[in-house]
Amino acid sequence: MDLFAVGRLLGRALGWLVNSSAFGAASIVVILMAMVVADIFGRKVLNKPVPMSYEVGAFMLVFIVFMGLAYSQRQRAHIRVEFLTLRMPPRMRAVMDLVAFTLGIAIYGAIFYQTFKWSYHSFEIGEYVAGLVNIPKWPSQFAVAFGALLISLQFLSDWLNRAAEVVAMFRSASPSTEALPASEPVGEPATPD
Amino acid sequence: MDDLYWGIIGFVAVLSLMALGVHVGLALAATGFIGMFLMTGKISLALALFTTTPYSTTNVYAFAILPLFIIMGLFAMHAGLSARAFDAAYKWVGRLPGGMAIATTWANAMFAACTGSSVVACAVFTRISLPEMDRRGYDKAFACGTIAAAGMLGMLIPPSALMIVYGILTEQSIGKLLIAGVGPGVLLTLIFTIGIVAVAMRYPNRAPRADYAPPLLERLKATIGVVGIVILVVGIIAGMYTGIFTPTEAGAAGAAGALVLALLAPLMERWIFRSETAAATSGTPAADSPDSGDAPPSPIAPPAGTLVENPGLNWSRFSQAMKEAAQTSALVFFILIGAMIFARFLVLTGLPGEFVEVVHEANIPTLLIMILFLIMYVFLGMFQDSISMMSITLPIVDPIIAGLGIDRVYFAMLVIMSIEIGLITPPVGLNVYTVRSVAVQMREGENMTLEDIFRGILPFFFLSIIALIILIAVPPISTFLPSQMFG
Repeated sequence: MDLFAVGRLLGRALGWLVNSSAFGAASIVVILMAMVVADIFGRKVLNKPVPMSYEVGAFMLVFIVFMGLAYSQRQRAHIRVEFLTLRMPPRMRAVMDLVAFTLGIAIYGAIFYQTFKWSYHSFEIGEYVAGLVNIPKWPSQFAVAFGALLISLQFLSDWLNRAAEVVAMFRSASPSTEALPASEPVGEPATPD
Repeated sequence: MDDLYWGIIGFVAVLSLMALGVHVGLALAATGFIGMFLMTGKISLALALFTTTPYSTTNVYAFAILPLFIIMGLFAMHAGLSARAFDAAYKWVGRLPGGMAIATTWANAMFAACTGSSVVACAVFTRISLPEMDRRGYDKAFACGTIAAAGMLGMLIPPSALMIVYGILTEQSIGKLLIAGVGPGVLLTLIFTIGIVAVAMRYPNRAPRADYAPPLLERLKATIGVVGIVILVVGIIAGMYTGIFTPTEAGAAGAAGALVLALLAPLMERWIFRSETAAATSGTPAADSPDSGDAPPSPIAPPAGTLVENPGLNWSRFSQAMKEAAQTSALVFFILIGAMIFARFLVLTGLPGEFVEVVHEANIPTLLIMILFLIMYVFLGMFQDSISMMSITLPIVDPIIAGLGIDRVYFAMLVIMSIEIGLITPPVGLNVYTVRSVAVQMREGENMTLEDIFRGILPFFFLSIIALIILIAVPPISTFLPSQMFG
């Protein structure tokens, strides 16, 4: 099985989803700003606050964060301490990447599983925030599940890409395959897009 | 006592995972989860951490301040604020010894009042001030040092991403922390100013003095360029201070105001700064066209290249800014979610409480404990980024500080100041790295090494230590404003 090809395929398929999700998160930032400004204006000038703006504002932050989560990983923006890893030999660094991505898949996979069950339950029993308008809770809870799923898939795609590189690294270093130029193209590092 | 061991093992685990390059947010979440499972022996309890924590960490109205202040900063950048602030500051203080370095510091202070990021400030001002200082014969190391050091102001003067994160992690009022940053920010600006004058007088060749005193009219005209942003900043700070705005509302108002300024910026450039814009576009070589920089620079000429390349907003800049706000919020909360999972595990081990008692019983002088913590932060700041280091340490440190009866807002200022000092200290001074990475792409700084910049920043390192000592000695600088808040 060619890990590299699988990873690339997953990466491409995810690309669209991750980018649209980030675009959604970005749009919600705009809506959040507009809503809070309207709320200030409504409260101070018209004496008519936007109903439920605190609750909706909180929900919006959930959407912004979780819809942007996978995009941040795709951009390699999530913070890591590279003080030691930059000084490691490339193979060791690659293995460390695999460890990190494995943890990412496991943790965010578990978060997806837990929050999906939770949001589905909330949907079933019709949980809501009471107020002037009753707002159902499940959409924001589901946003957590969606974002967690997306970032765990992104970690999986990164894992596959890196694993393919590791395989190539070890293969090109071992004397038995060194003579085979056919294995060379596999060794090209995947470029994160 | 067994439980305590789990806590200590947890710390070791987080630090090791992080050192091995695991994402900070993952290292914290994984340790919290595994620790919870091992301690309680129940996977369901550990999994429960994953159900509620990600949601409860983000489903808070007060935390929505973060994306709002991020877009405010991005809009302010597109409004051409950084260049305008530099231009105005230089016209007022240009005659002083080291005038251009002072202008850089002051413009940074103004820029910091719109953004909450030291790194952004360093990148922006390297592009704006370095060519100008170079043109006037400033020592490049000193110039880069000034820029990297002035970047510290970004995290002190509100809005500051670091203060917001500090408030979230320690469950304090974000508004109070933001307001508290004003005092230390002004103090550091003043100390840097005095320090620059001193350096420029002692070593005139590092910062040649320019007899640059434009007529009052020109100064006032330059000031118009920053009037809008000053009104905006004063407005939101005063609004927060008097309680008219909640901090989140201040963020939204600031973002909307900065959006308007960014939209108006092209008009302002055309109507008010007509001639200068033309001079800037013809006279300033872009980083990638070094051939046009042959004209001999006159030391008396106004700083031509100080205008941002085409301030204003278009669709792509706007959507890029929004995406960046979403991405930055995501990466901050990625860590915070991990931090909250880890913190719940820590509380279960009882380690924070135990620490409080141990410190209390040990009868160590309060001041000594504080200083030890601050030294730890400076030290950690040399290797780690600020948010992760706060995420790991504050669940332990904050209860100790509260237990000792130290004002938590006051201590927060000291911690942030110490962390910022770490950002200009080798081996991993983030500000210095940023300045260098931008500088080497430019004609003026292509040969700069990290060592050069660290050399240039040395005076500022000592100045910041002095500022920190003053902050420790005079608590009201940090605590007076927030204590007067909300009426």
